[in-house]
Amino acid sequence: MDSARYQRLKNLMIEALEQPKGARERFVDEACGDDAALRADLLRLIRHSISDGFLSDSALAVDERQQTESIIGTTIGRIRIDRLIARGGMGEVYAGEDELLERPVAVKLIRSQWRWSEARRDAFLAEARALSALAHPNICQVHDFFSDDRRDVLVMELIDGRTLRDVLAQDGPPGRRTALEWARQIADALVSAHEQGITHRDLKPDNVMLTRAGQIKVLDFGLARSLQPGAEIHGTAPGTQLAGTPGYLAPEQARGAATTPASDIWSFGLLMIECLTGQAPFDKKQTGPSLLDQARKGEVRIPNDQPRAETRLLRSALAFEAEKRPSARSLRQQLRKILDRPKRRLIALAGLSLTVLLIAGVARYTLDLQTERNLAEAAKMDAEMSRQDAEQARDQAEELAQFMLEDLYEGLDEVGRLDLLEPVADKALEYFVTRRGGDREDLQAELRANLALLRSAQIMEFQGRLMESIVVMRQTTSDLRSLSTVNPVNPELDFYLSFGLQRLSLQLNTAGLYDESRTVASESLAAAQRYFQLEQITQSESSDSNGDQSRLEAAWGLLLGAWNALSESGLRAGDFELAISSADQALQIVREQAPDLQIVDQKTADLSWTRCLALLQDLDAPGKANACEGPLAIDQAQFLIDPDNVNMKSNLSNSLWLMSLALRQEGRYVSALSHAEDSEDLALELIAWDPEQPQFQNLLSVILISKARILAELEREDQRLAALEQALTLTDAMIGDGKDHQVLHNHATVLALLGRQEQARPWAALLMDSGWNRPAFILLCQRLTLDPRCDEFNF
Amino acid sequence: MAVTGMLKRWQSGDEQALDDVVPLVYAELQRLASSQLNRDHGATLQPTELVAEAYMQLVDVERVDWKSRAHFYSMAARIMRRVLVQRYRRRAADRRGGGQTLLTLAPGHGAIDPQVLSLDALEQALTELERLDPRQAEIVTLKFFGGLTAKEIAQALDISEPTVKRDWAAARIWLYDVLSPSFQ
Repeated sequence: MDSARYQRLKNLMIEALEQPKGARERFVDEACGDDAALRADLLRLIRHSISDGFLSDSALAVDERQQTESIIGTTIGRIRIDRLIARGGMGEVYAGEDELLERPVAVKLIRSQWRWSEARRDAFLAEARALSALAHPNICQVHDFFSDDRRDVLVMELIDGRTLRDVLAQDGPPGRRTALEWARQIADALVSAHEQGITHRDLKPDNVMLTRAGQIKVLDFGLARSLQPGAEIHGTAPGTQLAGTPGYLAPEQARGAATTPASDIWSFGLLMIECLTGQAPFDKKQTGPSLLDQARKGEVRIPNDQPRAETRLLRSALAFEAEKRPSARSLRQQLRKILDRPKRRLIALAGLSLTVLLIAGVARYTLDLQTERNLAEAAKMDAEMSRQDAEQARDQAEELAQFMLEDLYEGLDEVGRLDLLEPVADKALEYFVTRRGGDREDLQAELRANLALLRSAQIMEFQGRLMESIVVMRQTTSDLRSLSTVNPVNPELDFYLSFGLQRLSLQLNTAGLYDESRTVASESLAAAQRYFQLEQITQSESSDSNGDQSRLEAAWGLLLGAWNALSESGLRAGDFELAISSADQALQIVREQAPDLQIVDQKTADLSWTRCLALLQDLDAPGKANACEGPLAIDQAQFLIDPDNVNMKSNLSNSLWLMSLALRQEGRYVSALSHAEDSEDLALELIAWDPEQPQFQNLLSVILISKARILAELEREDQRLAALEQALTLTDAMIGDGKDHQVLHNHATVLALLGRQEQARPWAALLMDSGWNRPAFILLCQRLTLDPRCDEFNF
Repeated sequence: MAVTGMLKRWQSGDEQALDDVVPLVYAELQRLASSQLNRDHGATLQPTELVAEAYMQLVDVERVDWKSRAHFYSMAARIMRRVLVQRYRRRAADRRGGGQTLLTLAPGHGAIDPQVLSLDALEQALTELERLDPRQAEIVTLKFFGGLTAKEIAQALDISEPTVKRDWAAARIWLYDVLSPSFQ
């Protein structure tokens, strides 16, 4: 082709391309006329479909890729190069295999232009030697270092994972606990290195990897100093960036002063902020010089939404003066402390291993609390200690005590370790009472002390010390009530007040103090509604974050619990109308407003049960068993979601038992029996799981009693007696000196049903002494004339 | 700064001055291209940055006007082309049997994977284009090897920006046409 013909072709091509696509071929036909060769060339050219990538990359990029490719498959020393993993400022990193040792390795080829002066190389080699001697699970191991005529070759452990830079960019910030766990592992690596005299000098998310197994590996220890060219030279040229990442430099590094382990601590602080929040605490879009300037001044934004312990840690790590920063060892210690508080999520794992963990936890926490409190006290007294230290010690004690009251308590409750709850609540109570003693004005201390009292009272209730519990509850709720009058807009106060009143109302029911129970339940409901208003919880509330989720769960649990307490007080007092209407109102609120939460399902089951029981008691009401089927289904579903949760299991056992009562009342004895037997199986599982737990023994006793009643209707006398004998074995073993009212009730009932009235009478008398007046017992007592005082009641 | 003076001389019509400046720029670009300074996170440095870097290093910025700068860039792009093609050939020779394996057609797409574009084949095609249409070849050199924008190319060659764009589009198709038979 000559130039003239090419010009013609080119011009026609340009013209053709300016035509709309559909018109191009016609244009070519017209323009080429008889010149078939020209036409063919032109058509071929304009029909090419060329990918956007063609010639769009610069020649340099093409060059670089080819350079990389030419290395793959070759062998350097005894290392076979397999594939490119990453490109870095100093050179590429490849995955390969050490053919002699037959182990996978990562190979960093350091370009010749980074070749070091002898002095730099000696320094690096000294560090590489020290590092390779240092086998630490969180440090990428250096295996070997050698040179050929073109480059230096650093052979390292091959890590299967991603850099934190990629992890954070792709997955966003991990949960708080994971972030802290990463930070702890990084600190662990720093402790080892620093104590061997090795400083990292360039700690940043690109130099930290997370393996697939979730382990942290810090890369490139010490490489930075040996390899970083003088930043100043390049920092001045417009349009170019600084070598390294100036954003992560400590102030002294940015000023060009000597880099020490404390500089790593600074970078660690920035890195930890990035792990917690997903954002670097500086603007990455800034230019190198401006970042460098910022780094020189030590300007950094410490996030203000972190818990106190974390904020304190970050502040200390990011102290402007290097000598004020803590050592890596001290950082690690603080992180361990923060991490050692097992949190709600962990506790939610439930199950046996958790029990072990919690049991181990209790001993440690009660001990720790003692220590922390002593520290706090010592700090107060010791004039030498700064106010800050005193506050810090107090914060720690506070956090611990609060953890014991909330997470630990709930965790233990969930796995049914009531025996361990008492020391926990007692220790926390002791702490807050001591603290309250000093400062009556301290609302938080007041609140916590009252919460601790509520917890203690609950435990007394579990242990059957009903009247003691009621006395404590009355006192506590009355304290909370007066606090609430003084602080009318404190949602936390309303929360605990409502919660306390709910528990009190239920206990008053058990004790037969129905009028008081009803008043207390109404007040509880009012407090719960106030809490809803103050916290502005509405149906539109989303539950995206975990914080919101648990806040919503707490709120809905409280409100529905209050409604249920009111409904139950009606039920117990024989005011079935109140019981049914309260339950119906609450169930309507659930239908119309409640979010999709597990707690709502649970409380719905509670409410539906109360409603079902009210219907059961109301002899004229039809379709009792129908009304009880709904809540039973909920409990069954809840159980299936979380079959290891002791509370779910005992809920289902209870529900099956109540269903059997409903069915018996409707005269459907066979079905009633099979429900009672299912209920019995679950109760036996619960007892096998924790034989020391009186609640479960009580549950089995009442199931056996009602099973015996069904068997009586079915006229299976042998089986009826066997069930009662079995129940008697249980109650006999538990009765002791008769302090547990529930056990007393069951024991007397079983004896009476077995026809051993004479044996039943002394226990019945003891029960009447305590003021026990549950209708089921009173009716039996009247029928079998166990105690003359029973006749005073009129149902 | 020697380069600045030479550029001034060249601007005032001394062709010899340009010949004198080339070796200096060449050496600097070769140094820069092989060191690829200042990279972070594996981002590939753009040729423009290299050329700008060379310019900063060699020329007293205050003393030359934009026209000299455009000329410098255009010269630098041509030098870059030489540096990179030579490097490519040397590397290909190092490898068993030369670099012919580097050209492949991405299966099913009828398109060249830029990752396996052979700089050698491109160089041959560009040489042919230089014979047929020198201006077009220069535009390709400035854009692909020099990383200049259409606007910068228009300034350097003293033509309009639409002309640059049209010539580039046509050259790209023609180069594709020439290079594609060797794809198999």
